[in-house]
Amino acid sequence: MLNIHDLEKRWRRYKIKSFLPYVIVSIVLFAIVPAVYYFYTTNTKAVPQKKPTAAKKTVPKPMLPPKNKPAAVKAKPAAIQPEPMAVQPKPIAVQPKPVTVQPKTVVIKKTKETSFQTLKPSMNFMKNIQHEVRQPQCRYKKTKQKQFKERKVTEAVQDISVESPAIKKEKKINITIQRKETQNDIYEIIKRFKKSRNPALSLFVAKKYYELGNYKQAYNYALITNQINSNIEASWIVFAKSLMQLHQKNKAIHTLQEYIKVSHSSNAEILLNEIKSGKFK
Amino acid sequence: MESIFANSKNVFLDTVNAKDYIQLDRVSAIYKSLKDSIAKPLKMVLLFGKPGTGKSMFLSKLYDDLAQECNIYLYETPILDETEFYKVLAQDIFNIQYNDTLNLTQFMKIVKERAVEEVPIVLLDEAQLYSEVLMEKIRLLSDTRCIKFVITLHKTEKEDLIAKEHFQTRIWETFELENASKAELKIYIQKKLMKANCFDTANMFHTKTVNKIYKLTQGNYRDTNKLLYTLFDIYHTYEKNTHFPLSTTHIPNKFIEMAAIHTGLINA
Repeated sequence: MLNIHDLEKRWRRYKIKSFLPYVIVSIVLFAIVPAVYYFYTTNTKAVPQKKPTAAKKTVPKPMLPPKNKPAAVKAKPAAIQPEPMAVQPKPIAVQPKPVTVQPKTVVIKKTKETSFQTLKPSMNFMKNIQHEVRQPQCRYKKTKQKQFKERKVTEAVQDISVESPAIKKEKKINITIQRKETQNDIYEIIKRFKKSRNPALSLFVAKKYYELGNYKQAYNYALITNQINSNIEASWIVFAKSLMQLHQKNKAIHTLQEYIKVSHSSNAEILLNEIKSGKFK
Repeated sequence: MESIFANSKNVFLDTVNAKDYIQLDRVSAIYKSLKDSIAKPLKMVLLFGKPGTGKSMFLSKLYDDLAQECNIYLYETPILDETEFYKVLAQDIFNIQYNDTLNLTQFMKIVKERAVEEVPIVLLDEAQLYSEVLMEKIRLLSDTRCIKFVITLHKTEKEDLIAKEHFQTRIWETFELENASKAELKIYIQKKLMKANCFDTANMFHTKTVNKIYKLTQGNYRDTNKLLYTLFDIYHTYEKNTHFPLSTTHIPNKFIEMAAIHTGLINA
């Protein structure tokens, strides 16, 4: 004989259990929907609020005609130019001091707006170099000027404007060094390639030549790579790109089409589309 | 007069009786194939399937159908002791009673000496319970072609392996029994009830109700029988304890779920 009451109780418990997930989901939905609506409405309200603030911010920008930083920078080198000239004649170097007083305030505004332009450490380094150059001549003559310079260092604003051209010079130097390294690398790798005939090395050389703009060599090494191993996708792509740079568009398209037929390479297809559509640069 | 629910409940008692066998198209086709294979010169026939797919009922039906025509013996309960197994076979098939121990060699000798014109058919249910050693000896016995065996196995990976190891090289035929489909389950339930003249309750099983039952039992005949037995038990209990009449047009999901909870098909 069944205990119907107990069974009914168990059934009720089971029904509650089975409906519980639906109840929870619906409660969550009912809670989320108003919340999302609330956030959406608050955000839409907040956006127009932000816009005026943004407008406010942009308002001072027009106030930055000194913001013509490049102009200010340009003005400074103009002021600087006399300085190197003033290395020998001390009184000339004294003149720029009052000139720099005004730019100081301008530069402070700039640093507040764009802190990343300050580049303090490198500037000091250049100053030291400049001082070292000047010192042999000026050590004993200008003690007063040194005092002024020390004060200026605490302000640390003049120097920035002065040093920026020097930084540009440094960057240029670095670039030339890197180029030498890559060329050396390439020669070393070419040596290794001649010994081992490893297609990975010739592909590397092809890529490097392509990066350096030596498209003829890039074409040659890509061709060599393809001859050794015709299944390297990257090599075919460099090959086609080099052809494009060598103004042989039809040949590049034909090459890619033939390669895609064999390999179904998606990258090759993308490149082919770029070439055909004229997007390839 | 007993209530229709009490009568319907008894229809689904979990017993193996050839008279309760319900003919379904697919099952009938398998049964016919099995019957035909017995007529073939096969040494061994393997009938396998998951528990509750009707293997025992098949054997019972086969025995019932062929008992008049053939020399057939059904062993529903496995005889696990080897000597006892030979003794029972010797007594049933050859009418020889042994008091001492009987081993395979002795039994083989009897089999060859008393070889009967008509090959006896031995139906062994729940063969997965026999030891591997005994199964190997049964296989050797079947090799003599003096006894034909029809065995049923539960289909699990392990048991399939046993089947392969023992019977791979033998001439044998296999039949797999599966759970009922939704349509088959509906026919099964309704036919079973109508066979017992429970037409009112048979009409209560609409497609929706059968689908619900199928969802719970996956078409397993044993589980379905258990579920429906409990379902009608619940009906019967309500009928006794309540004064208002119970609907006989449809079965509420509540009753089916309660039956499923009671039988353990739903873990509540």
